[in-house]
Amino acid sequence: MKNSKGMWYFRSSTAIADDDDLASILVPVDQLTGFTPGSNSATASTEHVTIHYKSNASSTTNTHDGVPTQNGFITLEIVDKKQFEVMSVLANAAASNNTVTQVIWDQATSEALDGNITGISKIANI
Amino acid sequence: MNSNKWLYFRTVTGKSSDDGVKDTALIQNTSVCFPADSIIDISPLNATTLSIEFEPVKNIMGSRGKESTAFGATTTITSNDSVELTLKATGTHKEVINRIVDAINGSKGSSLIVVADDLSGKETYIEGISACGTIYTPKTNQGFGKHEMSCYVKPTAASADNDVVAQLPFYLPKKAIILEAAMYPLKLATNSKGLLALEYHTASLAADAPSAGTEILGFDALTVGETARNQVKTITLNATLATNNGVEVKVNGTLYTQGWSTNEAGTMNAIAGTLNALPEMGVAASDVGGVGFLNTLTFTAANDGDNIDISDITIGAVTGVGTSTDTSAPTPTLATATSAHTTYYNGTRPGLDLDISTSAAAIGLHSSNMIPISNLNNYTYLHVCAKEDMSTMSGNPRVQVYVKWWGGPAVAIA
Repeated sequence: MKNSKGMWYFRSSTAIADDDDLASILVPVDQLTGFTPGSNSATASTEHVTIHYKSNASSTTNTHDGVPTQNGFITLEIVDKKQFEVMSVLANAAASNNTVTQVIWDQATSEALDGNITGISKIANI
Repeated sequence: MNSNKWLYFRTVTGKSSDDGVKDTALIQNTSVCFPADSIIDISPLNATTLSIEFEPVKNIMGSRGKESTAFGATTTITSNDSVELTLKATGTHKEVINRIVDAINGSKGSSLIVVADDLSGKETYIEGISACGTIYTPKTNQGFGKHEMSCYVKPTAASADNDVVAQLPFYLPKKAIILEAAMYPLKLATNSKGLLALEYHTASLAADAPSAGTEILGFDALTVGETARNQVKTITLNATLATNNGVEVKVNGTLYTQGWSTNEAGTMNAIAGTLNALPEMGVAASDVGGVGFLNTLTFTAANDGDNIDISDITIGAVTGVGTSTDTSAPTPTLATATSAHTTYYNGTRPGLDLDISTSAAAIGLHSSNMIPISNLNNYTYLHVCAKEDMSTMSGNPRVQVYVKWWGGPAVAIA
């Protein structure tokens, strides 16, 4: 980890007993590569924002995506048409000098970074 | 650069269209937010356009490829992302670059810098910019070759069996050859309704319209694969049964005996009926007075590769059920053959419809050994279809669909 300012935590499982490698993840903020609207799928959506991050250095193709991608991603469910607002909150959170772990969404505890974030539809940490 | 600033771009005018897919271009985006640290370079694209190139949000930086037209020259492109900005005045690239850099290096205000936002009524631009142009995320190869797409769909409550419940949000170009497909239930319905299959078709169809395509994934999906050939064994008698003859035959190690049953046909049909009930037997049938007036018992294996071991055939006095007239019993002859089956393997694994009902085990489907499908000189639309009346389906199920093909790039359905 280089120049790490903090970490972002995501969990999509309701029951802690169901928490596994597909259900939760901790991402170093300095590994974020950007945010895009939609589900990171060929399906257009105004109810999602996707957070992208560097997940490994392999040539693995992520076929979850609309067009093959290589980085990891986490797709957040958001209040419809609040794409800009969520991206803005995320950008400010990423730019802060917060060195503790920030919970972006935890389904088990309903803790969220922002009220416009309502869930997680996908954690793709290949 | 370690600026702690993020750059925002939006090239659509409405929030409703800010959905991650720009019109029909699947490699373009409607908006994006990059870390300012990701800037690779800023350079003029033409007299009134400035291009900012970024480390890609979705891909690993540095890979390069060839983008080709159908019969034209190839062009080397990078996988980096980029945003094209329209300038207010010709030749003002340097001035605008300076303003962008000043914004990034400034210490005041939000960490999010809106570089260009075309949102109608709330247009926001750094001075000198008049519009946000194309946003590429990612700018990957989109020529002719092997492609794959994935998306989720929300099945509707179709009113009848075989109705379309969802159309995939893209279609394949003419002459595309489908190589592989898969479906997975992301979210189940909340009642017992929900059997689905995937079909391809030459035209767009609305949800709840009758399907009209060919099934790729599901219980009815057919694929050539290896043509199924079932083993067929025939016992032929060289004469009719004599009165009171019995029939005895060992099948897969078990001896089955049939005594005289009223007449010759009754006896032959009875042993055929007994053997027809065996699980390894597809069909066991008798033919009394058949070709050449010879009587036959024919056994067809249930599955390709199954062996029906026939032995110890006795006609006449068998296991104490025959009588003295057995001395005139005919002589049996056993022959073995294989016969092409009239249908093909179901290539779907497992060979079932996709179950999204509330109690489903959430098992995905894959096309397995599917022979590539050519849709000839037609566009290819893909439809998730109901395989039962789903008019009472409840809940908000979602299905992930994956398709791989050879040909040109997919086109989004606007």
